[in-house]
Amino acid sequence: MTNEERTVGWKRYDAEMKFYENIRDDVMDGAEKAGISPKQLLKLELGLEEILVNIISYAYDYPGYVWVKTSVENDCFRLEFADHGRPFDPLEKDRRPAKDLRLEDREPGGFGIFLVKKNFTSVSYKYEELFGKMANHLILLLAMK
Amino acid sequence: MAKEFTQIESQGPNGWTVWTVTGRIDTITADTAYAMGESILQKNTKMVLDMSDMDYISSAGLRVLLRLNKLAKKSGKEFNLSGASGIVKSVLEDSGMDTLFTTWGSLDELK
Repeated sequence: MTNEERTVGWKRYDAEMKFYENIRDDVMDGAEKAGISPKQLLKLELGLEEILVNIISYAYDYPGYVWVKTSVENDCFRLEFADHGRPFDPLEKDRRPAKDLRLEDREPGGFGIFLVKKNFTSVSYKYEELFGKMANHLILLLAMK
Repeated sequence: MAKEFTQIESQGPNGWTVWTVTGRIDTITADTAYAMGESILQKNTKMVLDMSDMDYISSAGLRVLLRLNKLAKKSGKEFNLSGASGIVKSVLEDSGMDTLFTTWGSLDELK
């Protein structure tokens, strides 16, 4: 695949909290039109919220972009994120809150990616060149039904 | 279509104050939800969150529940959950929250 082909189908947004609902609604509307079941739509939102809020909150120290791409692949809805922020592989370690801590003392931030992994068919991460720079590229697959 | 976020305080059975949230506790609604839960806890000794009309919760919502649980514990008060179903119930279970909180199937079961 050429560099140009790899950038087809993405939508670019400012990575700012004020655009969160726009991005969410774009993705959710697209998924509904693609025929995802209502139950899976809620799971999709869970993944979208956890990943997107993470990128918006932590990826950049300066104003940056987040790219989002959706497609249907066989029986799965495919949701991709890219950003040019600091390299971050959410799958690098088991980010479940440590078992030996009392639940009320755990840092709940680790719940997010844990819930995504639990609810999605697959989550994969690459650090690769996209849109002219090295990028975090996260790919989530979720069954349509 | 997702349900609109609303929250109401009402009196329940056996001295419980019921905090009913409709819709969702997510990144967008978390702060508003926390403020309501906190204000109910300040004025009452037993608060139950009625989740039966909630269709979604994310980790931002879990953080709200954890913070309110800490607040309740610190001030010797009770904070229970009631009526979770669907993805709300499974998120509570997946995160282990169902073991931290006393959970009720519905408000009718409250003791």
